[in-house]
Amino acid sequence: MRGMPSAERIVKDIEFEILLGAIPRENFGDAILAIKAHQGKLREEALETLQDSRVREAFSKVFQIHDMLIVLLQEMSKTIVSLQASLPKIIEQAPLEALRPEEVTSNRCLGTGDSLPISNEPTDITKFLRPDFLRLDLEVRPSRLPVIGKLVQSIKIALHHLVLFYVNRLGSQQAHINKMYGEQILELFKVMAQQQEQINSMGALINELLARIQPGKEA
Amino acid sequence: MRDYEPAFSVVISTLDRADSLRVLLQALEAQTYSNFEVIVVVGPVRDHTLEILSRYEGRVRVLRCSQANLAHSHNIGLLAARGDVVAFIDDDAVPCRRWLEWLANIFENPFIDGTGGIVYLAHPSQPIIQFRAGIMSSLGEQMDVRSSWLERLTSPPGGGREWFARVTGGNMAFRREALLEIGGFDEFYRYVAEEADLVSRLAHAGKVVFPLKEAPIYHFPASSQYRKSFTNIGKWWIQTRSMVYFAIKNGLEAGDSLSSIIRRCFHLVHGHFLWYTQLLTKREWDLRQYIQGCVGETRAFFSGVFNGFFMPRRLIQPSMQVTSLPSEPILRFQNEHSVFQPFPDPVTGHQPQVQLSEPPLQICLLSGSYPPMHSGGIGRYTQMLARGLYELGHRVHVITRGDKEQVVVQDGVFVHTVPYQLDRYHQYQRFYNVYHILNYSHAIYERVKRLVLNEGIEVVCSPLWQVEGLVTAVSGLLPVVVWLQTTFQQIAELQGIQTRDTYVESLLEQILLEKAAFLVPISSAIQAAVQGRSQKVGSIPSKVIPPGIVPVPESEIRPLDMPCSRAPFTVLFVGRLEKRKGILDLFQAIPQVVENFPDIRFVIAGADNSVHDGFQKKMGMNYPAFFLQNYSKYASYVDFWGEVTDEQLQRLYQSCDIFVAPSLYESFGLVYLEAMNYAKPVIGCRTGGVPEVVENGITGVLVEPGSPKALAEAILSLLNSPEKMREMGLAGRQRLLERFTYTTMAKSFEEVFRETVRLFKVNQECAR
Repeated sequence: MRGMPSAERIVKDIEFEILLGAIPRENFGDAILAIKAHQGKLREEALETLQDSRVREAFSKVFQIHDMLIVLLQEMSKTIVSLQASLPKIIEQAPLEALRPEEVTSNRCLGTGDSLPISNEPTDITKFLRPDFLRLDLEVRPSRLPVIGKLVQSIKIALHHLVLFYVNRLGSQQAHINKMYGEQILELFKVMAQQQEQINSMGALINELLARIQPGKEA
Repeated sequence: MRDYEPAFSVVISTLDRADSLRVLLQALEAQTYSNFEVIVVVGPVRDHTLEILSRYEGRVRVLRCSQANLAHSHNIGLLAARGDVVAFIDDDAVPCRRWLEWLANIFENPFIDGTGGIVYLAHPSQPIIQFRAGIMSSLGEQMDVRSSWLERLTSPPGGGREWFARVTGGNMAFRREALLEIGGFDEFYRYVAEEADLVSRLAHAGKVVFPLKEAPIYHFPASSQYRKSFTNIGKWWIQTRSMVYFAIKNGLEAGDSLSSIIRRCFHLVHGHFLWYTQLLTKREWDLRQYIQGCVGETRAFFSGVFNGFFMPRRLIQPSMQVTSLPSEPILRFQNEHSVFQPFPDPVTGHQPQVQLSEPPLQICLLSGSYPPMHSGGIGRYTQMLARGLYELGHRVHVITRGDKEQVVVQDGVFVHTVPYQLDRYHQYQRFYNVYHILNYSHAIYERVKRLVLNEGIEVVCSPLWQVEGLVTAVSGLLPVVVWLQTTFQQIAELQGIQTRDTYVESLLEQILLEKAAFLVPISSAIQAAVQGRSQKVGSIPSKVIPPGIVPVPESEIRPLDMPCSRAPFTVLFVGRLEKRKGILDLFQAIPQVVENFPDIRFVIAGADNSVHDGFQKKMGMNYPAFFLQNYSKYASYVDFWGEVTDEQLQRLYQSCDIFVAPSLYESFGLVYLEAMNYAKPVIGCRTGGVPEVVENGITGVLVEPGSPKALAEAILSLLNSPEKMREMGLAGRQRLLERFTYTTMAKSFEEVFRETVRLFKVNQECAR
């Protein structure tokens, strides 16, 4: 800082420092946006007042570096948000797929007396009942950013590890629940198959009886 | 109104800690979250715990535990709990006001089954953080990872195969159903590791425990049957018993190899044996204690090994759980009076005996210096104010400067020390003082933020000196009441210092004045001086409140005896040795006094400030050296005491006959009050706020500033009239009792704070 600072300058510096400190994890993205807005305001003011072209150029470069850092923060913020968002999805999606309503709704033909398409359901469900079905492995795309790529990569890996730690723990809990659900469903399938057989045989019996009654009636 | 308000059962397991328990229960009255019950599980007590609990009849559920076993006691509380969430807190701790509110926030997330907050250790020499967000392995390897837990959670060093988040037993909470599902606490653990084992089993059951970095409790370690607080006296082998058992049980469940489990167990015992040997060689333990320790350690090891390998866990049986299902709603602890309860002193247990008509305020006072660490006018004003506010029933936090982050409780006031952190405002490095001031003010702001989050602080009071509240005021986080003493600008002008630094420091003062919510000058003189600085400052509401001190008991005051037989007479000067305090005028007056009244001694107490006020640079020596060189003939009449302790200062006031402080400017002059407290006549200058303290001719004598001749004459006039000295001394004491006590000051401040908080809330509502 050349020359004497003014009161306004000091207040702005304090506000900027407060802003930098105001990045709670839950409002990470909002705080970065606020910093970006503040930086834009400062850049505009600085470049407006500076006359010397070399000083303007130097300031511009400093602001560019700040921009790069802000972009980096934004990328980190996005990663965190996407990982947070994927957490409940990962848990919810798999069991929903396993219990897709199509298989159940296909039983609408029950009343028609058609046979049930039960032969392929157990294998579909048992696939999802494996304990490792919900287990996720580390999958991080390499960063293409120059210079700071390694740093970004290591941060991404650390964040992924953290999320995977909890996701896999939740996953194992969910897998346990899925297993219980699945076993119940398989049991139901068996019961339904037995009932269907009974219905079929009873249907056949009714048809047979009807066939016997019909000639009688006609007679 | 919150969307999600789980019912909490706060379980306190206690044994022979009646006084600590009383403070904890009083502190729970102040919780901002009210949907909770309190269950106290009392062990085989020998003290007056039950008598304390009888005062809470109908509000606290008291259960008995026949054995001194923490896990068993917790299980009794758990089975009796009717809340959705069961929170456990140590009986020698005090939670922050928003403790349960924080925990309730966490349990809004349905995926989380357990959590725990941080623990502050209230101790003058120990670090503030006793525990914060740690991790632990299946072999019991602990890491208090603090700030770097994110990176370390992926690959912590240690032999354990599984790592899980760790909470501390003194500050933890879990969903009741989750705890019952895993059978509660393992009752093998009498003490230590019961919570780690619980969290490990929760992790295996697929439950998520998420430790918090807020929701602190203040721990005031009390002695127990297993340890004597802050000593090495204790049955430490109880830890070995628990940890060996923990490593075996959890290591086997996690699939750790047998060799790594055995290695870990021997490592635990080996560590304790080494420690015991150290204690013996340092003579902190005698041979009997050492042998007792070694035998206990060996027994504990085998007990842990046997129970770990061959015995089943001692958990709550499902049959007991069925009978414990809550059929009734919780018995709420807080009642309609809770909100008006004054806050107790957690150290002494003293609770101010006041009837509050409004809820107590949550106040934060800032002061760079604070006794006993530092002495100084502002520090002493602040201490008096803090004490007065506490006695009026308010909860007071003081933030002061220190080498490291710490917290202690003094006279019922939480004193937080914050160190300098030069990690911001690097653009101001050229302005040395400003750079330090801004960084320190920011460090204070960070601490204030923590206090707002955890304690719900409503108002901050900052002195103008060193602009400690500047960043807080600029942030708009809270209303900042600025306490006005002598401004930096005035001092710079008086001492003739005009540098770039002083210019910027004056700017900082101006900013703080303009951002203040309320101004409290300590005298009308300072009010006039400050309000004239700008129109904006003139428009800020203000009220003059003179400082007050604690009146000493009548038995300690020493008015001059009549008929006077005392000789030689003693004239006392107290203050920093600098130009502004008029030390050079006193030096010039001494020869005249001695020549006319040789039976006299001058005592000069205070630190030399010749370096900072430019005297050293100008004259090449400090003030005492200057006197001895230029007034060597009178050197035997003068004693330079340098900086003195509080006790020494009190003795000096008691033993002097006349007090003199010929300051060129004083915004108020606390030293005059301190002398008046001991019924001493005072001599000062007709400047600043001094005439508001000293009544000329009644309680002392006022002379023109910068007039050594008049000063000498004033001293001589009193020396020649002992009766007048006595009368003035007694009149001064009477004036102090009527106008300048710390309680009078605190009552005036209370009104200011209430008004400021009200206006701040109104403005916030309008802004919405």
